[in-house]
Amino acid sequence: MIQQIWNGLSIGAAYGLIAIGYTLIFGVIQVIFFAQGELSMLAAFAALGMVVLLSSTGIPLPIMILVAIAVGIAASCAAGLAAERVAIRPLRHAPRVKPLITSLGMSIVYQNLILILVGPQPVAFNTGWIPSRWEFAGVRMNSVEVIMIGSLLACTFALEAFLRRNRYGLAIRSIAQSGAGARLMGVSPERTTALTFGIASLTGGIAGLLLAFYYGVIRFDMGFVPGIKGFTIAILGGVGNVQGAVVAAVLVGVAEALFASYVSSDYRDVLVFGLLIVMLIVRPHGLLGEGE
Amino acid sequence: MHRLCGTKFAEILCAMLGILPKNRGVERSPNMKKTVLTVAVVAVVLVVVVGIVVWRSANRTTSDEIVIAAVAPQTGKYSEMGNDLLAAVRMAVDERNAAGGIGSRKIRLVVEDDGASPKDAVTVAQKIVGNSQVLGVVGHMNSGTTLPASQIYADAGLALVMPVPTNPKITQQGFRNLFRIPITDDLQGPACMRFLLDNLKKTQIAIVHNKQAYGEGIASEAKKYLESRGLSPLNFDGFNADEQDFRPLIGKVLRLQPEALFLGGDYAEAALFIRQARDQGLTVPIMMGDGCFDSQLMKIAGTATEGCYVSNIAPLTAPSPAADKFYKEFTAQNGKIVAFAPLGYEATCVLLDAIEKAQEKSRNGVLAALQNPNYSFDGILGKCSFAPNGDSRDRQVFMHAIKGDHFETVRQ
Repeated sequence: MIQQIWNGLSIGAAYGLIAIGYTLIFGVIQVIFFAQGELSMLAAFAALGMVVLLSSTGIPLPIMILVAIAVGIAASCAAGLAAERVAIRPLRHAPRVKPLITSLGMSIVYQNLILILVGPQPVAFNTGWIPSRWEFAGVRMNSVEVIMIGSLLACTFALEAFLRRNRYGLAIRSIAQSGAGARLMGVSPERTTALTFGIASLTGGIAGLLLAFYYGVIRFDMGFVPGIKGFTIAILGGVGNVQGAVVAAVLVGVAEALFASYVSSDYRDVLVFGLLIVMLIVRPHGLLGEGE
Repeated sequence: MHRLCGTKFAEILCAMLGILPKNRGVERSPNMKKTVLTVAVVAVVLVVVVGIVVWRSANRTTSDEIVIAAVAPQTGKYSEMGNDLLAAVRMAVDERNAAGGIGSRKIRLVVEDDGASPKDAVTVAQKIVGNSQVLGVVGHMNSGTTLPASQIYADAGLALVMPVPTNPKITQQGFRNLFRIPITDDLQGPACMRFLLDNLKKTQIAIVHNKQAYGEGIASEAKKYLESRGLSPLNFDGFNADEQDFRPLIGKVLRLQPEALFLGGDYAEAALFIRQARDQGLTVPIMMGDGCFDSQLMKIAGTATEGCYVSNIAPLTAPSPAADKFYKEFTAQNGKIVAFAPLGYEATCVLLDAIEKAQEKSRNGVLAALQNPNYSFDGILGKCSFAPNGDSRDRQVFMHAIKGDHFETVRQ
């Protein structure tokens, strides 16, 4: 039981990092940016590429992995910003459904990019680092799971502080509250949107790397399921609400793990999407969302 | 008048190319724009029509060619297995052509990609059926794609020699055009269970599957066999094929304290499952069917695959001196046998043999030759003959243990 709660917490943390991206972007431009899961996937592939490049140079393992992580996150940020520039910004005055569709388009573009470069088969994510495992109070855990949960907490606190204290963070919130009002106060919507995409790609990239380290295998469509779960979590938590997303992520992760382990693993996704439907009917603004 | 026409034509041509002479100072009138548009459309249509005619005539078979089709996934996650299979099909066709073809007629192979998707399989099957020159088909590779596609081949009366699909349902549909080379899951599943019960002496067995035609099929046959021996599996649980986190299900299996686990699924899921199972403390032997017979399993799951067993419908090493030549030549040409190449070769040889034996070189003729109860072919995997429903008679299952990064055939 505790084992499954732990498992749920760790996978929920990875989903939560992706959900933060969805929710932030929606808060600022009212668009669900569907390529979020693909940004995670790109981070994992870029990191693996770096490992392959560096592994023959004899650089010490920890440094190599740190460089690979940095490159992976840089890649997801670059891809996120590129998507914003190419697929979102030109449509800023268009009806909201258009950027929604172009973001879906970007996710297909990124998937196919990897399909062409790497191919469709799963690739072993072999960095040479073997996560250590231990047993604590009857619960088996490994270092990646601990880092997953730690990353979600760290990202949430950092993001909250950033949004409340930093002037760029305040700019994001002001745009989210009122685009026109913020512009009158001298906040650049373009720059702020780009910044939001940067943050969303950062958390997405971290999630992708953690999933890659955990599963030990990456594939061009690895971002799809976490992307859909992240999207569901963002809605459950109330889109635009970071804390809501984190709470929903933990709940979904744990509920899913307990349901799959004690009730039925066949109907695991039915539970998650059933929750989504119930939530949309009962509390359309999400767990912690405020009514309009 | 003539001259005028000529000038006008020249103008239109120039306008189309965007090089209207400046000194003429001619403005493009709305009327003229319309004409330009019409000419452009006519030109495009002409080019397309001529293109199609040329392409079709280039593809037309001369009457002395015999056409067969082969379908397997060349894209998607099964592409490595699919390409392995197709390489063997090509090899069989090339060898036959080098030996003079069939009755001095050369064989032409049409290759199609179904991407392992049931939807694409149907489209591809319709395309093949529409090509009236195709006399027989080798394919598809997955049970999930063969099942929907088989209906289309059956309606067209086209013989389908199936190199790999093992789901028993395919030949239970009552069609008379299906001919299966490997044994079926209803025999492979039980063979795996027999191996666990009799060779490894395990009786407390848990079963999980990926809810797909192949995975659930082989798992339920395994379950039936277990029940026929007076035992019952500890559980029978499905998981989603695109799932990556198996820890909740593994937790359930752990609580059941099995002595062995049977996994019905494909290598991509199995690799993730095994890795997480070992991580969560499930150390019992894990047995899998031929869908997991891929060295990627060991590449992804690494040392976690120690203590895992995989059955396969074709042996990795030549089973007889007659097969030796194929195994050597294929390895020399393609580096290695991934999984199903011997079956692809065998299936193609059977189809070509049936075409040769057919009285009339037509779809019906080929079908009649294969339906003949006395039909038999001596191939690299032994004698090949078919039951009335199209299942092969006398086929074996070969057990392999994973040792480090390779499979080792286990003698039973």
